[in-house]
Amino acid sequence: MPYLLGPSIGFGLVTASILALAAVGFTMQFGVTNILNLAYGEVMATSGFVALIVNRAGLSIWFGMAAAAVFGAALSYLLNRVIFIPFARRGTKLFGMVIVTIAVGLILENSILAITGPNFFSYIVPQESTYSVGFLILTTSQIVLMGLATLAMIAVHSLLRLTRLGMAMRATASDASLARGCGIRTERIVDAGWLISGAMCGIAGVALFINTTSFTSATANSFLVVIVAAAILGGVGQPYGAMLGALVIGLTSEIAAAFLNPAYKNVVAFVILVVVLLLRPQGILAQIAVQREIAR
Amino acid sequence: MPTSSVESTQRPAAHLEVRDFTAGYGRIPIVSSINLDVGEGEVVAIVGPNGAGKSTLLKAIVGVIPSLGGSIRLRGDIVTNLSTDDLVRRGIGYVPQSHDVFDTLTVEENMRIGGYLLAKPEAEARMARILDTFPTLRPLIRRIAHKLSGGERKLVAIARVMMLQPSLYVLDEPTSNLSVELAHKLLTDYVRRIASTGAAVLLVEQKAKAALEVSNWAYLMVAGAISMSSPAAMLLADESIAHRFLGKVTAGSSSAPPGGTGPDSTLPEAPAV
Amino acid sequence: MSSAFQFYVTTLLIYAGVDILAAWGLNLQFGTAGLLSFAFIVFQAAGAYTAGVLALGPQTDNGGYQHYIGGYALPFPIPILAAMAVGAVIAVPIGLIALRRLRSDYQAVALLVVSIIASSIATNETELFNGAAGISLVPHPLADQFGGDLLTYQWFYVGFTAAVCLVAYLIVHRVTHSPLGRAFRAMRDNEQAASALAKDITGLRLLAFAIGGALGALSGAILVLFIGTWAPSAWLYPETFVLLAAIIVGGTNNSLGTVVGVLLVPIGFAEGSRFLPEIGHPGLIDAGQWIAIGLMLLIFLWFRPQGILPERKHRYANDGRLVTVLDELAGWLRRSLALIQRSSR
Repeated sequence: MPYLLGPSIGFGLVTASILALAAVGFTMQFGVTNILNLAYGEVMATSGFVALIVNRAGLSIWFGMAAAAVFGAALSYLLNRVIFIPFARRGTKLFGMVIVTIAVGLILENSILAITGPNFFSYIVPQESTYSVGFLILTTSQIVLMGLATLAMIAVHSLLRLTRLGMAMRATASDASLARGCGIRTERIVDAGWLISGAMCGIAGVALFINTTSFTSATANSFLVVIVAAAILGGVGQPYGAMLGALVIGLTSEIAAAFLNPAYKNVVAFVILVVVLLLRPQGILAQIAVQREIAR
Repeated sequence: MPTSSVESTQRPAAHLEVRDFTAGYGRIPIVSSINLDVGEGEVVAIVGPNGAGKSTLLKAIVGVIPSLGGSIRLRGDIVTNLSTDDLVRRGIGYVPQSHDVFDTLTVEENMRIGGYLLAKPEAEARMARILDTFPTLRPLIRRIAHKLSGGERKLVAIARVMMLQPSLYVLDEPTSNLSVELAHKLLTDYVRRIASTGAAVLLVEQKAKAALEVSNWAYLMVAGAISMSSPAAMLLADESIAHRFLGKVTAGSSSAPPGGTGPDSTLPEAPAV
Repeated sequence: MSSAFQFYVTTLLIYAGVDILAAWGLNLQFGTAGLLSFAFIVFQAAGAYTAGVLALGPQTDNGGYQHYIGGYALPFPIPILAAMAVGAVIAVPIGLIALRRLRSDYQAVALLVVSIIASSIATNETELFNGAAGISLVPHPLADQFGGDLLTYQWFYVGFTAAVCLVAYLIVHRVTHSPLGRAFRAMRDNEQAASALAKDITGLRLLAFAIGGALGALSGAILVLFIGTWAPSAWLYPETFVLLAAIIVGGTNNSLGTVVGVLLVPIGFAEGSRFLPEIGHPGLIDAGQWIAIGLMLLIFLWFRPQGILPERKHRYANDGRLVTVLDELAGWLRRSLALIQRSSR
């Protein structure tokens, strides 16, 4: 048994790391702006393909990841400014906004498909060495991804707990109108939220593509539901909840893949989600269910 | 409706001047042609029947909803249609009727966010001072605001606004979720205490009698317009007006439950200052 | 008409009927009751599988090359009725998972997840519905009556689909114009107000879900009995978005608007692109179609969020009678006549 459990925990931790990067970004975006952005997977994908271009130009994939972070931040910021905020001003509610984000996602994903065709792509990743850490056996890039996710989580924690911006973000996430009543310029905080979460989205896209080794224009979108599941599991808009959700889903899905049927990898995670929704609709960590309007 | 104004009483220099002001939701005006002053250090009450547009007027003054016409001056500067965060930076402290605390955050975090515009040492000092003023907040400091009682919530909301030491407090029905006894305490004790710091107070109240008792000046609002402007005491004394527009003036105090221990009886005892 | 062209037209008409049925079902859930039903395609799938395995003979038929539960070779119209029943029944567990106390966009995601779970199970549990390959060789209902005259059968099936659509329209009309329909709209427009009126919100949601689910299942049954096959690739979750786009474009909560939307979005696009020359790499036209659907959604949500045919506000006369289109037309005529009289004086 340990010979199966060890690797699956290793895979689980790597998946959880990627998931944490993506889900924390997703949930921060949602928490601050109150827009459930179902185009998030496609922003991951576009950023991942930007990294591919950088990578193909002969630079290391880690440079590509930096480029993807910048691109993801810029694209998210622009999507909000050019599309989401105008729609919100025009009176589109939570409801309609989900459909707006789906439409944006369809356009993004299929634009990539139109350019790349239904082909598989891979990054050029330097020769991998393997290391055994206890009962885990991990490759270089897996270790880097896990370290990166850990760093990102520490950074998010410090941002939210220790900085003024973080305080303003939490206030805006809690009640944007009241935050304005404390002198917080919420529109700037919302911009910051899109930029930060967009950067995490870009990094997560590249991390996902490194880990899946070969990818298409649709790879990230099929991962989106897992991301959203992790975010909801912990309580949407709760960064710590998303970390916990990522860990739970990452580990269970890989262990399920090893012991049950690899095809049910995600189904097990989803079943956990459904059970949580039944017992605790607001998510594991959320104190109360959020009920707010779109922040701008 | 005849607009009777009593201008015999001397009022302090205007801190807030609202002139010919119109506001509403969308393009539809709810309140129109409003003229209203709040003098330096004055407590001003807006009273009137339900649905008169009192809260709408306050929301428009503090920039939560856009105005449709007219002007607002704060200490002489035109501030019409500035956003709420700008008005807060200019010294307005607004306590909404509901959604008045950050539900998902602790009391301490609520107060820290209240002091968002301050340098950290200054914020710490003010928080300590406010906790000295309201010592009953101390044991609640780590509690999530959503678990507070109605009275505790309102106190946190006021304490949060006090962090910036505004020169004008705008209170929208501060007693709406409180028992009559607590409401009375909030108005007579806390509002007076705020006024004693030299700040002006503009409040909207359903519990008209209690509000008028603590106010210097009062406006009677009926159907989206100011129909009377007079010293609060005068409005309070006028039986016919009380009867016609403020059905609750006398009903308010008589509807107090025996002993007054409603669910919100946790509003802290006011300490001696 | 050449027979090839007749085949093409009849097939198109049947597809249109199926899409209209499905869109009406979704419209009842989304447009009328305000449920962001992202798992809608599951109802169609459930209907198709149910009708399929009930109409099929035992799985040992045809050399036993496919595996499925059921296989009772039940006669028409039992498979279709059973499909509708299944559609209504599975609305309950799905609704209970997703609709309890969740805000609308969470519901959407929870239902998206349900759609994906259902599709993974159908793909991986090959004993249920033959896995990824799907069921095939589902017999055509009443085909033996036509003695192998395929073209006549095609026209017969068009007529049958049209009749089903008519009945479905009457049902939808009946529901939306009843007090129940009013309760659905009240729930959609203001949940708090509706629950203040002591309406059982969960019950209402489940009911809207069940009625819409039965219609969705009906559409699946009609489709599978016509094309004879059904596989997971036919009901991936984006298919729900296509129907949703049709509703938004045509007019939310307007049955005729939904028809217009279906004719424009799924039918118009699929058929419009058929005549495009094969350009670029395979999948380019597909991608273009999806981009167009996305753009169309944005354009409509921006310029005409109410759709081509907006929802008609139900008005009631002083005697409590519903004001119909005829009344409005009469009133308009009266006013116009009065205007003419006045201006000629």
